[in-house]
Amino acid sequence: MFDNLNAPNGREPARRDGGARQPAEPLTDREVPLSISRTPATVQAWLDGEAAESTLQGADARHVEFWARVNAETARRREVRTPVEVQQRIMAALPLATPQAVSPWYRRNVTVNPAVAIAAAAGLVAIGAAVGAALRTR
Amino acid sequence: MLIARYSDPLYRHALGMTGSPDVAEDILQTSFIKAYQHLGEVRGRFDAWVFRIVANGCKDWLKNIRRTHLSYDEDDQPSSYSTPDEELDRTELRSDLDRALAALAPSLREAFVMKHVEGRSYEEMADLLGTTVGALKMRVHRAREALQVLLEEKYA
Repeated sequence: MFDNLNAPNGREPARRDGGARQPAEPLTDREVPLSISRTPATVQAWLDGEAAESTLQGADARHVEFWARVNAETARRREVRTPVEVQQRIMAALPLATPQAVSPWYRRNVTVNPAVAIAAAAGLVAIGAAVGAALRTR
Repeated sequence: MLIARYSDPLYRHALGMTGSPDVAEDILQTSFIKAYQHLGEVRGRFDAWVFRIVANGCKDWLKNIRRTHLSYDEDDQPSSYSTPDEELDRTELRSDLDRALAALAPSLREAFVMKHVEGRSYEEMADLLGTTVGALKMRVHRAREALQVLLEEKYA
């Protein structure tokens, strides 16, 4: 396939139907809705609380009426509370054991008792002696 | 005390995301138990941390379950509508909104629910979700577009 360099926009769209052009379907028969903006920017701004209702124009009246109805319903939903029995059920379902905080090892407190301190010291002495002996043999 | 303090916004989020009180209750319970078991791992704000647990629980549920239709069956909230016609209209809008929200991508639904149902600011949303205000505005705007397309024929 070669680009048609004489086409008005420099190239033709790729054809997948063997080159046969189909007549364009009327727009009314399209199944996919056209991506036109249904909600004007002024109405969006009003719904976002960035513009007063007085700034809306007469052409927006249909949208304003529609969104007023939807907003009335969403406002009703905003009043919904958690049923009391659900709160009680959650309380009853919580495990009885108090959760333990999980922290990385380097943040945990280290407790050293005399036995551990003596063992650690003995270990260090042993390592030091082994390193010293290794150096002397060279 | 922590449950009483934080459960309402978390329950609303789970309910908005799943559309089902039963599922929202389960997610809330599981999340609180998980949070309690890992309390020692909290770094930073507790509310943001537990919100992330609930939000992830909702996303996992959405991934695993293919929903058909779920609506708010348990309506014990006081009604501000007076006439039967308005009540019927409200119930219809409620279930239609549920269906429309269920059709949205999880990220768009999450943004819409946090903004419109939970009434959070973009800054608060960005803080909780760890993204930018601009990205969230875009998601909310796209969610509104999609909802309007889905509901417009009937309600606009």
